[in-house]
Amino acid sequence: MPPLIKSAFLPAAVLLAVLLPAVSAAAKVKVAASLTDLASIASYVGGDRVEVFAIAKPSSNPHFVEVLPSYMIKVSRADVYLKVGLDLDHWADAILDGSRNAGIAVVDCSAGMDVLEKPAGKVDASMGDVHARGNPHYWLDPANGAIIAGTVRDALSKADPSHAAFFAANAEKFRAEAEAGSEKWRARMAPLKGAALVTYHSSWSYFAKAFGLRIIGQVEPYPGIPPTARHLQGLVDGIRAGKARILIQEPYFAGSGPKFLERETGIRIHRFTPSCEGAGPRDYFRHFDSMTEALADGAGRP
Amino acid sequence: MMILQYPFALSALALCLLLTGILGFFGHHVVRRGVIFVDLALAQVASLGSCIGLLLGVGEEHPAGNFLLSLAFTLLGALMFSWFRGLKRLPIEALIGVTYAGAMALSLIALERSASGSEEIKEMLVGSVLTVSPVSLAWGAVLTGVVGTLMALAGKVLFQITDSPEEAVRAGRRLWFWDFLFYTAFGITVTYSVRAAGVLLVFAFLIVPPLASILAAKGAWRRVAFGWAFGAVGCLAGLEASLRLDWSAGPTIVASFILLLMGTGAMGRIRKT
Repeated sequence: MPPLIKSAFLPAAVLLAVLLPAVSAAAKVKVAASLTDLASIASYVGGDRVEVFAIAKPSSNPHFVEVLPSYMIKVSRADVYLKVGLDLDHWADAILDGSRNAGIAVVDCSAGMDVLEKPAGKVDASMGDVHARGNPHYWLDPANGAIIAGTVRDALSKADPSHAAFFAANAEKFRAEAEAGSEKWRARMAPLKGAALVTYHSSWSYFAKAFGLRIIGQVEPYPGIPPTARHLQGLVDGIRAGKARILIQEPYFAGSGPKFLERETGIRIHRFTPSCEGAGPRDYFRHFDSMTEALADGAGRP
Repeated sequence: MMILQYPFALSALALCLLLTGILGFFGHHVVRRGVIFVDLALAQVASLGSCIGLLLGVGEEHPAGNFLLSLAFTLLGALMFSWFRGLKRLPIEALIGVTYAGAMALSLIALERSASGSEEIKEMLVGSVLTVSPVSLAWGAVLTGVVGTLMALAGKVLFQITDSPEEAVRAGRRLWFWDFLFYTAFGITVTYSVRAAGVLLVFAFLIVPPLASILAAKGAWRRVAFGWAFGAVGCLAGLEASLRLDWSAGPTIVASFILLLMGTGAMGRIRKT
């Protein structure tokens, strides 16, 4: 070996040894998701092999999202996009279309779901913002969270086949934890089993089914349409007749309707966001923890 | 420049430049004729057509049918505006205001029945240039080409009518015909622009460059040209700021236009003293 090359060889080898792990560490799968819930599940399943970003803030209505430049930038660089599907996140199509990311794998997380409230007949505008393909708030049942984890596992394995076993193990761990969690939350909610419930929007059908609550009315006369006086009066009668004690309201909807019902009937308002607070691996579970805690706590009081 | 790094930002810039190009021309006439709010009124009439389409079952899932319906309403609006000139006793701007309020009221009633009303209204206001699709951009290019050619051919007469209508009448021009042509071309442009960019941005593109050009240039075409340059700088600066600060694109571009207008005004002041 000529001396010049020889003297350059060692530093080059050292440099390579330092850089190689850095390069492979940088090659995390970049995941963008419509909601924090999907993002949180992706963080759990992907572990340190993914970089996760959620678009819709939990404090704002997920049916409509104001597109900021950073969303476009993140989606234009992402490898995988997790969609809620069932016509909830229409806006994601505009972002995906506009971001010109030909290489992104768009994954519809509603795959394999047992979808509630599929309309039987023809859907038209007079029925409000009804989702023609059924209720899209499926992530609010922890059992469905496990199904999402399976979908995410498949998507991540396709994006990074070398870590497929790692993703599969995490998805399995997620399923087990969701099951154990469900048991804990159901036990906590046991005193409320069969209790009548009023919700603002149709976001809570899956949640009610998972925990044995009965939804007897909605503050919105039709999905997405603010309540009218006549509808609220009808609800007052319904709440009295059905002895409903709980009203769940999404914080981004106007509070005047629920407050009226509280004044008239003494029903207790719980303000829950349908989506979890952050995109961290534990946020999805924490969300159920805090909601069931608040509901069970309210049930104990007169 | 962050704009150059992202295809979506380049598309947004292309859309803004197309719109400032065509609206800059119309804006000159609108400002000189004193019918500033005609774009809001026409846009609202067009959106009323689209709302009624929603009720009739020709909603988002039938984009062509919905567009045709809103176009039909726009033509109706154009016909009304060209007729307004004949009503000498009533100020045109007031009639335009009434048209706007009427169309808005009917749209609200229609949207009440169709859900997501308030969001639709906000979407119409703020628009979404960042997510413009390649197809929509291509339509914009075709439309700007056709309307632009038409306006260039009719330009001389239109400038005459705008700057001295009495002279145009003496020359034997039939004003209602040219007005109808003008408002139709304008209506089609506004219908497309509002869908792509939102009312707020369209209003800024239409009004701010001509205002600045009155401050800075003389002569009809020279003012239009100044408006184009002004618009291009405003779009570039606004979009770049939106990317760097992560602010909504539409409102940020509007703010950049207004800052530039203030700058132009200040420059004019300094030059005079």
